[in-house]
Amino acid sequence: MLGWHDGAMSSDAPTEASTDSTGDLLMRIAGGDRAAFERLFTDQSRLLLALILRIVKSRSLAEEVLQECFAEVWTRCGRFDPERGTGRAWLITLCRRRAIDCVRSVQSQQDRDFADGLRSSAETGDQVEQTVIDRAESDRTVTALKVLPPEQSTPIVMAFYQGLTHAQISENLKVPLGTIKSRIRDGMKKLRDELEASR
Amino acid sequence: MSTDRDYLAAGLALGGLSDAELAEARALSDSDPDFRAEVAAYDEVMAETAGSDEPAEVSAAARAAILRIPETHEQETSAEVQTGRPAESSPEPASTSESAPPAEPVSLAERRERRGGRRSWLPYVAAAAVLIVVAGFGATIWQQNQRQNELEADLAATQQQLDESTRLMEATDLRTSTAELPEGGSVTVLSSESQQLIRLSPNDVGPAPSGKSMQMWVIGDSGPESVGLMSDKAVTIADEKFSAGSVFGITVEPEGGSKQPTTDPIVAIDL
Repeated sequence: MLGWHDGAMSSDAPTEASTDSTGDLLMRIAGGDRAAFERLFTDQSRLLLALILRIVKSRSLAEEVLQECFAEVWTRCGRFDPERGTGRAWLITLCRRRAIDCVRSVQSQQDRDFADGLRSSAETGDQVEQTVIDRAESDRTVTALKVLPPEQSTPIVMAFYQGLTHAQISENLKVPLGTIKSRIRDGMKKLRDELEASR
Repeated sequence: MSTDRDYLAAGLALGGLSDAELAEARALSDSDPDFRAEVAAYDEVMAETAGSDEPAEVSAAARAAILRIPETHEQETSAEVQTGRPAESSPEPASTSESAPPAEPVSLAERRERRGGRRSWLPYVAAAAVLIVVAGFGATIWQQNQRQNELEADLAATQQQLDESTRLMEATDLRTSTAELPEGGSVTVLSSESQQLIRLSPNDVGPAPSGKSMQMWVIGDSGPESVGLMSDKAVTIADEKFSAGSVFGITVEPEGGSKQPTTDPIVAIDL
């Protein structure tokens, strides 16, 4: 069984739409409710920062991205549609996208080797000083993914946290693309089954 | 649901689909409520996955900046939300001719007189309008140039910082030290004698006391040399020579800094 309730966000895990407290906060923020904005920050910022940090691997950059994400939450959360998913999923998607955009933006300013070092996981050799500082954090495996065998969790991590396409993952791991797709599909389904079983 | 649809739904939530797969998945998501529900379920899976991670503490400076956002950012209006194009300029104002009250009837002679009068000032109005437009364009172009110059300067500074960070991290004699500050927070100092680079990263360091500044020094055989005032931002020091045995120090000085340290260092780190 997964440790779904290990993280601070898990207390907010909705079991049905009506218990989507993050979604409720987003709806209030869309109406200009500053107290709801502060509450959202208090509830979610540490987990969102952890997610961003895993992607950008630099604390100072991660905090900049977090700030951009909350600016987007404040200005654009009217776009959140509770019928298309939970508030938490909306937030995670927003932060992940922003963080990957940030990494790509940094990459475009650097030579290829350095970009690879910044983007890829710690074992490829990190080259910025924040990465050294944060290396211990980067090396930890995300709790929920421990339920999967490495051949399934690795491509999921590479797609979600490193923003790689499945074709790039196939190339990097030297595994046929069809196999990578199967592993991603089966891994995601297993994660989903575990989540549903834990509710 | 077929195997392909499972993969597409999972891939849409996870990321990494090819362009063709992405287009197919989006089309399915727009047209098929069942597929949309599958994607939402996988979105939730990834949110749970991310949520199982160990939380990271947000610094006081980032927290303060984020909580100020409602004061500094305007929210999208509902119209902008619908269109999804908040940056788009507003449409031309509607013509008021239909709603304007009908004009009073005037004689033909009076009309000619008015028209003649208009002719007399019309060229001046036109010339003024041209001047305004030209001035407007000029100002806009100037602003764009200014902005571009600022961006180029920022980019160059960022690139230089990245280059220096790379040199530092590749140095075989890299030293890393962290010291706590008496008022809270800490600083991490990375240095390399061979690269002659020092990198200071403050973490949760609050502002200096009122009327004071925190000043950085490199203290070598010839005494302390100021390397600038410390802020809450990381900084690379590349223009101060140091050798083994030199010390990096931080002192609290009168606002704006001093030529020589006037207090004992609150941080002293061997380089």
